[in-house]
Amino acid sequence: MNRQSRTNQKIIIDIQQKRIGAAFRSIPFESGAATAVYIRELTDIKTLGELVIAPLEAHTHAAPPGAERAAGIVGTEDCRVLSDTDSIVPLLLDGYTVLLLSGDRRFLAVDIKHVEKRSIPTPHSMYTMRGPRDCFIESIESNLSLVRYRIKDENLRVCNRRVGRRTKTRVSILYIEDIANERIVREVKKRISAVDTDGIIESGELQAFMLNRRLDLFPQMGIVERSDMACGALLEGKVVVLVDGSEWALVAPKVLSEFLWSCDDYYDNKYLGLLMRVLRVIALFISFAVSSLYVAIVSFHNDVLPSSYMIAIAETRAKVPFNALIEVLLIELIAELIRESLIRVPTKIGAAVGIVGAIIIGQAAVSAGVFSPLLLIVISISLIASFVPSDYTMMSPIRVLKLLLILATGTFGMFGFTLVCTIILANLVSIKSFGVPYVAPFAPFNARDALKSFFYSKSGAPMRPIFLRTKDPRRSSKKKQ
Amino acid sequence: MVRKLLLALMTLLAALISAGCWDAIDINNKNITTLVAVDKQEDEYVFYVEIPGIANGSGNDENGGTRYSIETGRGATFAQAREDLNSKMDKPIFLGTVRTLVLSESLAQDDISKYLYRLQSIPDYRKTVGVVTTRSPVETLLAVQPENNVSVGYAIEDTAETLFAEGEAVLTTTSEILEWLYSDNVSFIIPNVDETDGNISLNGYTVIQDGHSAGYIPAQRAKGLVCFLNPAAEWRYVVPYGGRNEATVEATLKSKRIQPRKTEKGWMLDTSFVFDAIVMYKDTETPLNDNALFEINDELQKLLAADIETAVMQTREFGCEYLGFDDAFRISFPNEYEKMDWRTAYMRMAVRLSVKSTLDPGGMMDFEQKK
Amino acid sequence: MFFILLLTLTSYSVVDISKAMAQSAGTGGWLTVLAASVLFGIAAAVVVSLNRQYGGRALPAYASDIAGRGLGTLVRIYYICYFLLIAVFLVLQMGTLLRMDFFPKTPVWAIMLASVPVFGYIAYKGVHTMARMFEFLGIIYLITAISVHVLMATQGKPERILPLFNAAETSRYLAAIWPAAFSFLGIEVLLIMPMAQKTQSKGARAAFWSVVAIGFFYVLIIESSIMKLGINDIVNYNDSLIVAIRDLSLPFLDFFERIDILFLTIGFLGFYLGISVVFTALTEFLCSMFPRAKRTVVVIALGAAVFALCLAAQAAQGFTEAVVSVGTYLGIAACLVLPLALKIAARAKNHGA
Repeated sequence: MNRQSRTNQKIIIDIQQKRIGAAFRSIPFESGAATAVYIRELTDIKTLGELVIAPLEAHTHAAPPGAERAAGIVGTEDCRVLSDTDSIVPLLLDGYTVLLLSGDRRFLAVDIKHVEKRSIPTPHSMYTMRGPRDCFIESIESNLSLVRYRIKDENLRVCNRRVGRRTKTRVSILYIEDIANERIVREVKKRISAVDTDGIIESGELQAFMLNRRLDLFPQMGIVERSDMACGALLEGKVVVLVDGSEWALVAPKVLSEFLWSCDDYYDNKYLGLLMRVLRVIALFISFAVSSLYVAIVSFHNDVLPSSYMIAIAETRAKVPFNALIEVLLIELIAELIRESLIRVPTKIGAAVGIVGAIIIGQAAVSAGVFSPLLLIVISISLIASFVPSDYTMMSPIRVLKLLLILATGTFGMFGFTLVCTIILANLVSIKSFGVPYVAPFAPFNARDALKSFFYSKSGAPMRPIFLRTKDPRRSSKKKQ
Repeated sequence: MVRKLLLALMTLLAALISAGCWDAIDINNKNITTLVAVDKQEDEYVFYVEIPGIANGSGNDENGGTRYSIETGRGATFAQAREDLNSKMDKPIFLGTVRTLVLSESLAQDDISKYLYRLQSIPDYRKTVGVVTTRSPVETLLAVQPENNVSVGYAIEDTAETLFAEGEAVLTTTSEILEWLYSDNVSFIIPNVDETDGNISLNGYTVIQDGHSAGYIPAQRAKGLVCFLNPAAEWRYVVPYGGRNEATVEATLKSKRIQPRKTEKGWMLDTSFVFDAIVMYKDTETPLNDNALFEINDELQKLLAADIETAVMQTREFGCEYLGFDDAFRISFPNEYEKMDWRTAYMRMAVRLSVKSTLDPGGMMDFEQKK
Repeated sequence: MFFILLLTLTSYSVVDISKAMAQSAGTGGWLTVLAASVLFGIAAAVVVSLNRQYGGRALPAYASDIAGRGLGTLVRIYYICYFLLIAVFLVLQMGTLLRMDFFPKTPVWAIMLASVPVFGYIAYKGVHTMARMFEFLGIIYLITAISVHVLMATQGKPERILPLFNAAETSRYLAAIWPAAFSFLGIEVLLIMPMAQKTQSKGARAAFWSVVAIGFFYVLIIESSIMKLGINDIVNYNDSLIVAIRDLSLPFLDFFERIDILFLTIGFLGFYLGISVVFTALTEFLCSMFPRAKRTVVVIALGAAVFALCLAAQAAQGFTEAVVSVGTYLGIAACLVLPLALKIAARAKNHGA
């Protein structure tokens, strides 16, 4: 046994003692051996046998090959010659097969990873009428392939990082170098590098680490499920972050108005797009404010509606035992319970839950006089409106703030309503998403971008938004066709 | 340390404020009022309020409509009458939904200003509420059952607004009355509604001077008044032509102009009216040729002028001016207006009337009937 | 800048400006207001040109550079006292107004206690946040206000604002500039806005025309209110604007027949922002006086002080009237006299240097 063989033996014993579940396959040569070390669950065994072990066995009559020679023998596409033995265990855990050679102190790291993954699904939350339906999945390679399939620009950069001491989750930062603002790219990379944790399982966890402040309520990055939306963001000069193991990509920066836009607005008729955008803004306002306005009108400012409406409202509330504030809080609680249960309920009884919610709670509660029918209509509209914005992460803070608004309105009427709105607005205008003001392009106001944020068509918008401060501000070339 | 202090302060603040909700009263816990009537009976003021019955759904009548009830309060002063009314209420009265304010004839004879000044300082009470007087007993008026089961307050408001929209009446709101009460030497009119054959009808106008009634103008003699005070006044006249024929003509006020002038004999109020008229129908087959149309127009102008002149004469009769001459004079001669006693000065002013109308033969009808 | 001026100036006395002008100038109040706007426009131009001279810095920072340490501190103390008085006046006015018109049973202290932290929060966020809020809300406020006032004018009676001008009352119109002056105080808040050192004349011109535009806005408010309520009735209300807006009824809109709550919500939002500016100004001056103190501590202390002073002022008789009369002198000193003196001193210093 030569010296390298003894060293390799020691390495093998070390790995065995670490009990990481590694498997070993020795290939004896004339004088010496090559040992393939791999983790069965992460390795494509068939490829291992066909492209690594079988070609090597064909040369067992000779001395064990050196690293380069072995790399030539092995038939896989990704095969690296490495010398740092400290990286063997991390490589094994990453799914590589390590080939230790008694003829060389260097070793091969062969990528024949095989991880169970699902096929490209259709979107289940960012559904589209006309746009592409291929979505990201948990495998970062598949996700990267979807992006590269759409953007064939040589300036597309993919920077890889590892995040999480134990999970070593692979994170890819994508941007188009000659469009994206360097400062934003640097900031994204900096924040990712600064993540200090055991592990990142999902992109949402990474997103939490990348907030400006720990307690920030509003999301400062967007999430995308569909690859076309991610590519659209890249073309705007944004940075897309893919996280291995998560089907949701992160987009930075993202301003408040963009949470309400959808790619469908671009793919369809621009007038319809305008209508839809306005509708989403109204929906956001409805979902946020309508319950509070009900409390304000019923409890404080009774005379804002015409008298006939007020009499009708009073008649419907005649039997209700609660005051408007308690009534609204109770029904909001029930609405949230239904919403949460519908996420987790098995599909087979999902319909039953819907029936229970609608008929039993709705109809029966009204008949029993527990709630007024008008309030049920108000809450239903509010609930439906909360599903209209395309990026649901914006609705999370809205749902939280809505409760605060209801309480403030229940105490001080419209005065409380405006106070809370003032606080929220002050918070919103002070937020920056990776250096970009959150309420751009409305403050600081840019007329062109503000108009384009509602009335947009690719053919009619040759310039990118100013607030992104992209290197290349033009979407179209200067020369007229 | 600062953060903890801030958190403690916020918690205290939230607790303090949450203990409040001082003004939160649900609408169904208030007595919604659709009409307020004020009467003076001998030495007592009487409040009437009309309240829909909404508690526990028991307020519906046999047809499912809302039942309205009338509550009263009496007292030697308004404050006492209100206290008496409050003592009968199970919930606080809400005046934000009042549609009509009814002032009885006896109150109008006494003084309406005292009550209206009271309303001024009630923030709930909308100053857009219409005001009417009534010569019927208030209980009789309030006992009327309007069609469609609406409240009396709504019925009076709808009647007045419909007539105003059709150009046949004048509306007065609380806000307008308050402005007039605060102006010196200004009189005004308030529409008068009465119970007639179980219905609510607008029968005339009460003239108010110095806060109390100075006269009454029945509706039949108020056409000219309406022409002065309703910018969209519209009346139908049966106009004779060709000796024995008659045509019904609709005259709509197009413009009105009052121009005060100083003449050697004193002040003159040059008043001109321009009407657009249309022949609605004629009573015979006789076609309307140009001569006939000219004759109709001429007659119409005379009829209009007569009505308008009647309105002016009525002001002289009552000794007060409420047709808007004061505004016109004040605008043209503000310094002179400031110095004079308008009431007496107006009585000495000459009023020169000019009435013109432009007659449209018939719109969609061809009354010339060329064969 | 326009929106900052608009919302600050209107918070001072938009609610009773119609009454004040009706009382002092009658139907010619529009002329008085426009004349006052020209005068205060000049003051605004002086303030802006002073700030631009020290581009990137605000008065709290450069006061000592011009006037020396001692005088600079005195200037800062003056502005702190002035803004404190105005803050107490505005908060108390707001509380009283809300109680009078909307919340008769809610104690004023509760309204003040709920609102002072909000103003403090905005002040804590700083000038840039505040400016962005103004940019965002200012346009909404302006559009809503103009729409409502135009609607009021269409529903009012034009003869109530006539005659527009009576030559015999010219002296009365001019004398009414003094009561109108209080409505234009607020220009001094520009002193805390650091401005880029671009062309001075452009910024000064923008400030001048902004104030004149606000003058036109006031004219719209006054004339529409008088058209709605009448010149004889409007003088009876301390909150004439709110009464006039509540008098608005639009039956053709059916469900939205009474849109006053919409305007009042947005109007009060503008009101809060106007008060927030004063709080921010106070915070900036205090932070410059006590540079080692944390901003949070300054804001909390300021909020507590304002609240305590408001309670004391509420108990004092005639506080509001006293502020209006004395405040006009102090305000003119703050927005015209002192900035002019500082500008002259700065120029003399530059020439000397």
